[in-house]
Amino acid sequence: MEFSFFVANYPYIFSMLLFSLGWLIIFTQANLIKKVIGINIMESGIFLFFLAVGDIAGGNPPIYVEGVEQVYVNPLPSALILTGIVVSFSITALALSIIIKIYQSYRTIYMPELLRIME
Amino acid sequence: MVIEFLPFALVVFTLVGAFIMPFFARWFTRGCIPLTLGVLGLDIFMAATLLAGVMSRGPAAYYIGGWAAPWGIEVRGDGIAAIMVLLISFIMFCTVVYGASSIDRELPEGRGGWYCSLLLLISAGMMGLVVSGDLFNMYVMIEVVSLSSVALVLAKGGREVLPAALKYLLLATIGSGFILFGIGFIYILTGHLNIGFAAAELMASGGDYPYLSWVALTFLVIGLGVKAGLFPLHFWLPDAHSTAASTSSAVLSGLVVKVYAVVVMRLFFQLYSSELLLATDIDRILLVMSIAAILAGSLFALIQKDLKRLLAYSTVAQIGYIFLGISVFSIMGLEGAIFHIIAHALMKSMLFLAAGSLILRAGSRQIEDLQGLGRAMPFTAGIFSLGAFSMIGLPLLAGFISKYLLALAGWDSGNYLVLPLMVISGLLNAAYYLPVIRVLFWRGEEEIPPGGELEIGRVLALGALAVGLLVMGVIPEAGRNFIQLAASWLWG
Repeated sequence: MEFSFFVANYPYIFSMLLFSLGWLIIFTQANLIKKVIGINIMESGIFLFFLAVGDIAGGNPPIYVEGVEQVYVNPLPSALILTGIVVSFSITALALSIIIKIYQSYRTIYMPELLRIME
Repeated sequence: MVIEFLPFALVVFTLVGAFIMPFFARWFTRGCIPLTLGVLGLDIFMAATLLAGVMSRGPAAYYIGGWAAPWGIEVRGDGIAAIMVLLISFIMFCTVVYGASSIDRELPEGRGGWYCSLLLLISAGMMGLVVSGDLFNMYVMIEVVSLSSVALVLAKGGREVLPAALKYLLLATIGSGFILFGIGFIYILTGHLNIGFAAAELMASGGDYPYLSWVALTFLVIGLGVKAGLFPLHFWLPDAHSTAASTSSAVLSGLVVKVYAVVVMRLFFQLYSSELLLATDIDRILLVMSIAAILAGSLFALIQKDLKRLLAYSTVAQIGYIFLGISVFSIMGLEGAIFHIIAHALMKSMLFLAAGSLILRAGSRQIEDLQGLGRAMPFTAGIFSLGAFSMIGLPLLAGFISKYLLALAGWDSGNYLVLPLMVISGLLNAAYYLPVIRVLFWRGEEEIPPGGELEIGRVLALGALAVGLLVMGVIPEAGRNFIQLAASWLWG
């Protein structure tokens, strides 16, 4: 594979990296807050991917102007991502509120300690 | 005309019910359960009308807002959607009838109304998921279902549900991340989000980008596998399903995991066609995964001492049956899978609800603490035994018919392993369900005073589920015509 392949496809490669990094963080970090950060990194990877899909080189924002011929970027992926952001926001809110409850009842947010207390 | 509109109307109607419920919870708490029952009762009526209409006149599609397919959102009322919508509203109705007496005892004070709101929200999400003909709409509905199922686990309160719910939320999020990524790949490949248009485009240009279409398939299968609790990805399921309140467990185990299996069927046979799939090895991979699920789920269930964990591991095994039916890749296999979805929804929700009564009475989830309860609560224990016998696959019960159909489908398509597998798994099921029944009816020294079980709501709910199970088992031909038709439409 040539270097130009990576240059041309860098948004896809980075989105894949972010996505994988995100779920690796969720699986490997012991701190529950860091797991939530992992969720957000993972979702950012997906959002970046969708934005890259919709992008057209030299495209303008998709706002229609009377009588002007221009190239627009594809607005659909951005619209989808808006929904995705709302979903990821509510997941983060729910996860953080569960973590607050966990801290109140177990006095820890570290997974190994939590597992030890639960035994 | 009306038939096309019904799937959309069902989802919106249930959603409206879910959103006005908090007002009732705040100012008119006693009206919550009657309102929920009213909404779900009307849902059953609409779903039955839809099923009858679809079966006589063929699949129907409705476009939200009147925008035609590639731009508008398609709502599909085909066979599998109609069957699933009816199943969802029936099981939810029975669960709420049962919960009318147990919700106040199992949940913290004052949460009954909010709980009803969650139950309606999750039914709206599941209905929306099975009728959706648009990939992104599917993703949104998946998120609605998974967030409200986490909330259903949490609703019980107390500290032991918290880690289970967090684990569930994290893995569900990873699953939906994979699904969204897969949808993105499909969008790149085809330029469409509508399943029909994307399928046509995949057929036309499927050979051009084989790797990309395989990557998309892998992402979708991993995501939906996590959500459905397919074996190596199941590890959140036992914790979440066993710590939740028994009405929540009945819904989560009976319906939620199945809905994802229906999505897998839709994606496999309506988005990808079977020719494209057979070029990959996905059928063999799924076959191995589902055989592993059946064996491992049963073996894990065998060593459980906690009744609800045992039932949860049994769900892991039963999900294997459904995916086994999908992985056979034939109309007969699909038929078996759909039959098992229905049968397992009936028996698992029945088992969880009956177990909930027993556990409430004994004050413990350990199987040994339930000793002799069968004599104090003969009706509930009898219902539990009926469900367990159906799980084992005794004839005249629905569990036998689905095992029979799956074995037949496996034999027909040359997977001769399926028949002995069904026998072995039936024996394994017997090995972990029969000891529970023996403990229940054990004649110990201490006498447990009878009474305290025959509340009208519980008897009606468990009785309705048991009647459904018997009808499916004794006269399967009544429902099989519908299921055959739905499977052949799904096959395309």
